[in-house]
Amino acid sequence: MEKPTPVINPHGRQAKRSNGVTLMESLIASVVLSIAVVGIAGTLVATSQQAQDVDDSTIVNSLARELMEEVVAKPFKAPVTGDVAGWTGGNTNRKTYDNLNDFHAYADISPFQSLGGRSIDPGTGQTYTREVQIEDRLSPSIPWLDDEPAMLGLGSALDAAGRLIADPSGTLRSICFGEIVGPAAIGTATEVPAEYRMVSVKVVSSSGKSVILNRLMCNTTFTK
Amino acid sequence: MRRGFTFIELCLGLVTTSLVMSAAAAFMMGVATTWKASGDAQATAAESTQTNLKLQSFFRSCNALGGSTTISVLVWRADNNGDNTIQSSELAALTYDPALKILQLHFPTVSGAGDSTWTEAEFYHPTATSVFSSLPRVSRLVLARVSAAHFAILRGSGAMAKPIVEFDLSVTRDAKVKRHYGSVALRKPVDPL
Repeated sequence: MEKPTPVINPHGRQAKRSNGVTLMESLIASVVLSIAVVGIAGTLVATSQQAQDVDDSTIVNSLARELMEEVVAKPFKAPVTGDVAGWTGGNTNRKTYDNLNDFHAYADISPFQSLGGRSIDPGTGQTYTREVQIEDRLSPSIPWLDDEPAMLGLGSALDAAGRLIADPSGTLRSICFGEIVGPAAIGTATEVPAEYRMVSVKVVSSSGKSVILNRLMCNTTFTK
Repeated sequence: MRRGFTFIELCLGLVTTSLVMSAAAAFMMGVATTWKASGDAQATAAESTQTNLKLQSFFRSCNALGGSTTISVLVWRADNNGDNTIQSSELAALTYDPALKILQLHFPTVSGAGDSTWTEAEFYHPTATSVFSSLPRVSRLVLARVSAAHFAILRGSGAMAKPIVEFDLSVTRDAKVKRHYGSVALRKPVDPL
């Protein structure tokens, strides 16, 4: 049998006969493949984390809304007689609270006790904490509160001291639950001192997700 | 010289192909799982928000909460004719059907002589929802795939307290149970009668 003629490259050297993949080449290929897989796996982990974040955000928001509904259902002022102590008075049973301020400084941690006496555990493996803060806002100090009457088309409904006054048409209005309540005609340029309280509900999960809901409450004595 | 694969080369090739295919399959599984989890999370978030909004819009405008059980709540929607008494046509109910696993709103379709008046005692009676269920009505679906539901009412004390409806719903999606917990306060004080 005739021997195969050696292949000569343009540089005059004899080319190495191709004999499959060397160990070094396969190692390099493996490293390249590993880098690619790690990169793609990273995006998968990130997407998975994002899905968990969405889940967590939903729960955090839902818990905050739930507690806010409980707080705003309470009367603005304590009853004249038979007032029940609130959280700061040592009463931890929120079912018995009888006015807004009873919720001041309230805090609880999951699993929560529902109003119906059930244990509420969101079942995500996370721990959730809830807090309530209530502040008197006789003199609004936050910019958006000062702007709100104008945004609602009330003109100068709140004076510099944050008191409720008649709008330019001489009609008294008040703001409750973020809605305009009224009108209740009481004459012109009448100035009525109003009481406002800012309710803040904060929920934080052990994964770091948090939400703060704020709602401005007013003494509903001024509604029509 | 031309020659075919040796047996060892063939085996190595097969092993390598299997490894690559396994890695590709694992990767695709990962993508699919993540994709699904992402979709589920978004669907759950939307479902939770929608349920909250539906129940809020239903309860907030109600006049009063009547008799209820752990799976049904009767409400006086509004005093439509302004007579300060409750008529059947002014009622509605939110119920959970354990057999069909659905949450529904029911609105009576009575009128004329069939539109009976309810006393306060009848309205607040614990069996009021079963009396209501005998009325002809239309039903509207609120939520499906509800594996468990529990309602509780807190009426509050004092003339200015607003009643609260608390709901605790377990919704099944692809064999996973998600819990929707929330509450809605009426925007009117307790007992307007």
